[in-house]
Amino acid sequence: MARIDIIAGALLCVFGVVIYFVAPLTVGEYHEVGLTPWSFPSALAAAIAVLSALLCFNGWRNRNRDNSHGEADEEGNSGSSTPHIIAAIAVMALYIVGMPLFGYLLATAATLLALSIIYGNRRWLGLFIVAAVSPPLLFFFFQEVMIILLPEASLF
Amino acid sequence: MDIIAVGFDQIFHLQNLLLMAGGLVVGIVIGAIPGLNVPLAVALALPFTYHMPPLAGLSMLIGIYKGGTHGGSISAILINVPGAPAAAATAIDGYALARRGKAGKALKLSIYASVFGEILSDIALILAAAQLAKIATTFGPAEFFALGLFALTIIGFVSGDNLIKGVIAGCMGLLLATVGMDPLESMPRMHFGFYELTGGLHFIAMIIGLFAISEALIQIENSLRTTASRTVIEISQKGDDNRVTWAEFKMVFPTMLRSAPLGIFIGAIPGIGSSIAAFLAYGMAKNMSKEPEMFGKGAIEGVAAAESANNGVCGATFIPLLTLGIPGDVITAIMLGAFMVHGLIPGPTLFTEQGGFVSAFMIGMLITSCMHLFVALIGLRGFIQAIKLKRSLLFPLVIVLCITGTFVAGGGQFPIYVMLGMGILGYLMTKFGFPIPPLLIGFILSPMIEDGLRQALLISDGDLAIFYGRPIAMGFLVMTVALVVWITWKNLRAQRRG
Repeated sequence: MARIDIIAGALLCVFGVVIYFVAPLTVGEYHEVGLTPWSFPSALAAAIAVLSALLCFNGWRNRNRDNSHGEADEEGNSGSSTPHIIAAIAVMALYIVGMPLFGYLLATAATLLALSIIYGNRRWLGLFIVAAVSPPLLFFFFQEVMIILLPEASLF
Repeated sequence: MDIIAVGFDQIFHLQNLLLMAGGLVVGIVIGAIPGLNVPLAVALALPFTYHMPPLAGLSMLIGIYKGGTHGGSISAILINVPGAPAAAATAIDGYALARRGKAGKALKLSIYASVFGEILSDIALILAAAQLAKIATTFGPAEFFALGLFALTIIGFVSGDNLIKGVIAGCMGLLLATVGMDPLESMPRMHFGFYELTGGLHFIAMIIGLFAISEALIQIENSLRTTASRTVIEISQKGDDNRVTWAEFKMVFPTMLRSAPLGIFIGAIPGIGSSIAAFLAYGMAKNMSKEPEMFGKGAIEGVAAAESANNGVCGATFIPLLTLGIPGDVITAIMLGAFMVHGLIPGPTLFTEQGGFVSAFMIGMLITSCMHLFVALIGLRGFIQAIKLKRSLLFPLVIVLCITGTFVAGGGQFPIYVMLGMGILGYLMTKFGFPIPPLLIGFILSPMIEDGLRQALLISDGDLAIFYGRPIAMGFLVMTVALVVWITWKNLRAQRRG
């Protein structure tokens, strides 16, 4: 955890410093009465920078205390699932982009299929049934029960 | 009396009652499935309430909250895996009872104890809230600033092992809330050139991203790691093993009577939460029992104590929420967001300006608790089946529902990107050991603190005496300092020992 703390602390410290200097630039004209619109964000950014530096320092101080074997194990576990996580995020992003192009029904069915595979589901029959049945049910619920329009295909 | 009549008139509509029952069913099912939790369920349901009347939508969320808090006990009893952290204490004796062939008895007792705790908690809410709101009507900006700071100390309780990370997450939440319009000058700030951000971060998108999408991403790791299915203990068909006898009920009733008020007391204090209530009540029941040696081996008092205390928290957490506008835990923080989504601002003004609504809401809480008894008993066998649902089938549906729900509530693509961004942020926070609840609490409390501070300084012309010259504000500030010192000392001591 110490190495993670050093990395996270350093990144957040940089983030805090950047926001501290950028916050005043994001505000337009204002009447200078009492605290300015950027006082609060700047103060928070400064707090984040200071606390992150402290986190980084604590991590550095404890770097020898951690059981390096345990840490390697932990990293190994999460490392093996990283491609799946990235794939899931990519599928979600494609779903968001594809929904207005291919329509809600088609995009949802394809997304369900892809996500189920990422989650390790290999029961193909069940997988196809869920992908075929769920989108029309959701579509019916939103369009007919809640009276909310969902995207229709703009490509065809 | 008029206000009570108005409340009854507003709440007794078929739509509200059906949504309460539906919320209970959804809550119990989600609570029963290990891996799904109540904050996720409430976050997921939030966009569905967006197009409903406020009372109807909030009734459904209350049903989910109450059902979900109890639902965790089903998996705790049948597979020894608490569906919610608060059900961990229930698992100790509940699972032992189930292994002795008394799963039906444990499940039914958990229903009775949960409903008993809820009803007492709702009554406490009704009795205490109006009195506290009366005091809160005298609050000005200085008091709200001090109250906001005091409420921020909750972060100390929900930060887990690393206080610094919790405080950083809280500051991030406070900072994220400054994106959008400046509250006093109405000038856009912190939008970084994105026009869509001038209205602030979309609350529903943020909640769904932080609690549902991040959880779905974490569950990918879990579903890849664990492939073995759990064995669910079947319910015995034998009469006495499947029900709570009158003699047993009389035996556990004093335990329930002691545990529920403990849950109510803990629920009314922001930041402590139902898990601690359940374990404290369990410990108290064991100390006061005539057969303490039976605890851990299947004592029905253990199940009754844990369940009545953890559900006793439910109503009481709304005391600080409704009267002062401060959330007691993650779920009430999301509920606070649900109020705001519907244009209702919890706090003393809610009581003065929306008395009828508050009355209807509280009556609705009580009705939901009564309904809980019947829904849970009738649907028990169905809810047990929910435990068998596979993550690989469930989470793709959860993700699709998250995206559809955000689209419906946000009315466009941008909020969905915000949701995805928040989901990734929530996932990274979890991986790096940063707790998510402080971020949400900071986000919720940020306007109260900033508005209070800036308005108070405007009124006093920059004189800080406005904070220490007013007794209530001063009282909150002293309590804040005392709590910060205590939490820091406790943390440092734990670090030295650990």
